[in-house]
Amino acid sequence: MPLLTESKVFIRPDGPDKVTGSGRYVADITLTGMLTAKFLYAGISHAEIIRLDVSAARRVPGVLAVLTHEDVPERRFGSIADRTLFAKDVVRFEGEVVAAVAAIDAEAAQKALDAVVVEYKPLQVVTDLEEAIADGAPLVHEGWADYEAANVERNGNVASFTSMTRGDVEKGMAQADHVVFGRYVADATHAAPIEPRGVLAQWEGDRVTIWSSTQVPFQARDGVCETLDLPTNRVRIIVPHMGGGFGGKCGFHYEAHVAALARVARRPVRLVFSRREEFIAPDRRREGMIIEITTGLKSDGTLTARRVRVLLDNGAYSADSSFFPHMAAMHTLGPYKIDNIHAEAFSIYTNHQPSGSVRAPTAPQTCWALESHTDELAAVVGMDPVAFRQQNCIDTGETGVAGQVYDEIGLQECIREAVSGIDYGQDLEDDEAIGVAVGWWPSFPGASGAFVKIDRDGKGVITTGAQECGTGSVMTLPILAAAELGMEPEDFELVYQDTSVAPYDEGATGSQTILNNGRATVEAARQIAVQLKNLAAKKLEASPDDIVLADGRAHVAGSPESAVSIVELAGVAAGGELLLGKGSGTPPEYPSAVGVACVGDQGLSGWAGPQFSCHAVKIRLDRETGVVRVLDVSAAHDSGVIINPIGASGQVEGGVMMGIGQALTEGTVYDEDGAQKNPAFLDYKLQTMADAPPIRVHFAEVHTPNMGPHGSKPIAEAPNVATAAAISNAITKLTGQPVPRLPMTAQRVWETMRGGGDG
Amino acid sequence: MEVHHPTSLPDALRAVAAGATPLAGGTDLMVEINFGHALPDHVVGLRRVEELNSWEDSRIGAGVTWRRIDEKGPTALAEAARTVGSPQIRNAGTIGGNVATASPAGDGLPFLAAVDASIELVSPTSTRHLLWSDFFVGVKQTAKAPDELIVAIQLPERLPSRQAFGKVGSRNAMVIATVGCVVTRDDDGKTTVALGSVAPTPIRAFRAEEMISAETSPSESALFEFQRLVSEDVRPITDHRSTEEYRRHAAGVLARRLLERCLR
Ligand SMILES: Cc1cc2nc3c(=O)[nH]c(=O)nc-3n(C[C@H](O)[C@H](O)[C@H](O)COP(=O)(O)OP(=O)(O)OC[C@H]3O[C@@H](n4cnc5c(N)ncnc54)[C@H](O)[C@@H]3O)c2cc1C
Repeated sequence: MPLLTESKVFIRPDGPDKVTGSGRYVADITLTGMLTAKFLYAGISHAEIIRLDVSAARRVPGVLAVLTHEDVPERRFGSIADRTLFAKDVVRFEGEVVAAVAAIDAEAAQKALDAVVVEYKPLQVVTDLEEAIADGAPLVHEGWADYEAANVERNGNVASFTSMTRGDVEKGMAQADHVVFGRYVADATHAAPIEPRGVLAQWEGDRVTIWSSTQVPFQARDGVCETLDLPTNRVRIIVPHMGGGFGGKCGFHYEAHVAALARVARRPVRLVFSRREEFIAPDRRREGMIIEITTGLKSDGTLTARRVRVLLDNGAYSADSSFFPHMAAMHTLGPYKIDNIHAEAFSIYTNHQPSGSVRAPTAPQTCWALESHTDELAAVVGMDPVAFRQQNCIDTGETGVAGQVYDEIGLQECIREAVSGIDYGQDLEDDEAIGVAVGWWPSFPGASGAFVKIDRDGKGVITTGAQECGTGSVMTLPILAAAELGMEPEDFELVYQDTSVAPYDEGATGSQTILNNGRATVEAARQIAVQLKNLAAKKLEASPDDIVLADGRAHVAGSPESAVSIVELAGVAAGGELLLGKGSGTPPEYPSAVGVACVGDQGLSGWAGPQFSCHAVKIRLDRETGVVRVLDVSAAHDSGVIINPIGASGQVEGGVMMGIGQALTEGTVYDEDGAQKNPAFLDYKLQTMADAPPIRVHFAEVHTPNMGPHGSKPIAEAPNVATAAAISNAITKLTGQPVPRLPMTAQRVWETMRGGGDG
Repeated sequence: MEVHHPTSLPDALRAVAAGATPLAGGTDLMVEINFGHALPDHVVGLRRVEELNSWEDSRIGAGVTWRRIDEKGPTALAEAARTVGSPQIRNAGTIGGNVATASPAGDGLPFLAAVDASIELVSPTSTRHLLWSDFFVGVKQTAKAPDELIVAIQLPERLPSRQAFGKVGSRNAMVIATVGCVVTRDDDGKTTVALGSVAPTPIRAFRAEEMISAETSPSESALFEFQRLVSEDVRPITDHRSTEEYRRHAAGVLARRLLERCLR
């Protein structure tokens, strides 16, 4: 049962601001005396810096600060500490920051950039994944053995590596009646939020306030502290409205650069990215991959063994990508019952833009490969792909690839409902087909906190480190607090994204808001509930245990007429003890996964609160041109109990639209030198409203204990996993051959139909 | 930056002669500025120039927006208008801007080529009409002199009875055509086929036209011969958007389908 039924629609409080254009984003905030920041990028993918001279740039009129690596402490950072704020000695991708300037306007800043003298000696560029790990390949990081990193094997250009083994894969293959191999190649894609990022920094004495469009304000703060040598209480990050993130605004980005500029210039400094910068510079890009899968199966469809090898394009630096090999391995193995597995996944340094968390990192590409492969398996044994999945997908009480035994899960319900939602058996035109794919995604329990207070008029404020980049925290957290206190969601305002005010939170990353902030908010609200009940008990001359909070009132259980309003209680409390609650909510433990040997593993074989999905997609293929149109989508999700149906459905619809883009139109094209050829919306094609098909959403509301509040699980990333795979399977039904490369552009579909195509 | 807002054509022409860059809807120019390809320090806004906004029968003012063309333009040009960008772009973008930009992918251009339209150019001292094929000279290059403005597009008095526009692209809106095409067919069978995005300028596939115009009721094999000739006649390139081979193929398929629509 949702806490908020469809009949009770809670309008998101930030909605009117956003749709009318009155909402203020970082780029809308102006401070007196504010300067404009601009960066000088490498513009070359791999080179030694022979000369870097900013003296002329410093003399440009109107320029108040010019910084290079010489002007900040020497610090390496990242999940593997391979990166510095400014390039020193070597540049490793085109968007690497070499220098930063702050000037009275954009023109003066540009003049300063033009006046920077920098000479490069080009180094051999590494872009091809197989070549990068071949013997004798030129190294992206000559000295990386000296970088700090936890649990990482150092081996040539391999930035991070995972291997997983369970059972005996050779024996499993030997038992098979059929062994099927598939190789799939995915191009890199981008998060592409509509708002390019902005950072504004202002110093007051030795404290700095930074407004930043970040999904993870505390991580951003910690990055500033680490790179500029500052204690946490002197760095304050505030996040105003955000125009989306999709993972692209996770991590620590340019807050330290701008803070350092503002300190030198002694003025507030604002950086606002252009779309081109948004494409080339941040260390958050969905990586390109090569995925190889070999599966052994019996003629009755039983899976006997699976071997996978995945190469991930790490790019030049490791922002948060060192756990990706593990994620990729798990996703390529999939939510299936197979006792004998072996997986190896390598994240490989190249001279491309660094990759990092973009909505469900590694999952859409690997799911596309695995689920295309799965339809091939079904075909080999002459089974319907849906029946094949029903037979082989894990269910409650069964053991998954990593040896984890699952509690109650709704994957089978997802398959059933997605298929019935699209009317799977319908008569189709001969240019139409329906494809089906399943997906999964883990939950990430972690640290979080919330403060809740109720003031004298009975109105509440929730203060949290939760981010609102579209996560719906402005809806969900008030709904959760209101449910504990018998109040309405509208009674609460949210104060969010101020690191000096709110308790620590990991931010809008890993679909964490309901799971972690939600638990913290519930815990904080429960403390206030105790206070209210005590106050009401005095007033009503009853025991606190007998007080019920409902409909804005506290009443004695069994006698609703014996009641006092929460507004009245709040007034009483305001004169004495204040109504204050704080919560952190103890994170649930990760389940164990048995029998998996892992080398270099940074991930989690046991998946806490795994979320499942099945997407069924109906397409039309123009056989002459290869153009695919998506006609209808049915998406079923097990994300546990749904707290807020509008928000949850919105996540699914958005995830599906992103998935359609990844399937058909979105892909970054590189030249031989590692530079992006389409870093603009002119040539990087997202889906638009005009492309949006009807999207039917079903939630398999499996009550999941010990996860999010009320039996919930997360929902934000899961919808971005299975869509491209389902589209691929629909296409293959019409072409007879899978399109071996993502995105499956019209041209690639056409080439596949003619035989051949670029794999 | 200097900006003029003239309300009459002579004032606008004076500004242009003094070196100002014309700005109509700005949907091409602002993109150029955004990419740093253009940095005008002197701009003349054209929207208030009444002469450019007028539309009399076959003479379409350069300042007429895609939205107006969508509402009352000739069939295939209206079809093209409907596919330009998004509602916002169609409210701002003009046919004159499309013609002046002369992008190989300009959606308005195949129609002009298909019906042999001419471009009316006015300078402070002269007025001239250039046939489309004399006007478009290369990728984003035209025969317009620096002191000239495009004042109008002149269509023939009588247009072919059947016309169809189509484009192949990656999605339903805001798409740069991989290939754009207009086919016209008149009551006497005379057929024209003009294509965009497959050569530096809009082009006609004359051999295909000649072959199909001679067929009073084309057979299926004639239709495919038409397709083949169109594919042969175009001169596309390979770039990061598409290969030459795919563009050739798609051009032929599209032209054949539009012809089929005209024959229906
Ligand atoms: C998001 C987006 C989507 C788009 N989609 C499409 C599409 O689907 N199909 C398509 O064809 N185009 C598309 N375009 C391009 C553009 O909208 C069209 O080419 C439009 O017709 C340009 O007209 P404008 O009035 O905006 O030109 P402006 O940008 O004002 O001017 C363009 C150029 O022409 C010059 N100019 C303008 N008027 C005159 C004149 N009267 N005389 C001389 N020179 C002049 C200007 O100096 C400038 O160099 C798109 C653009 C954007 C931003």
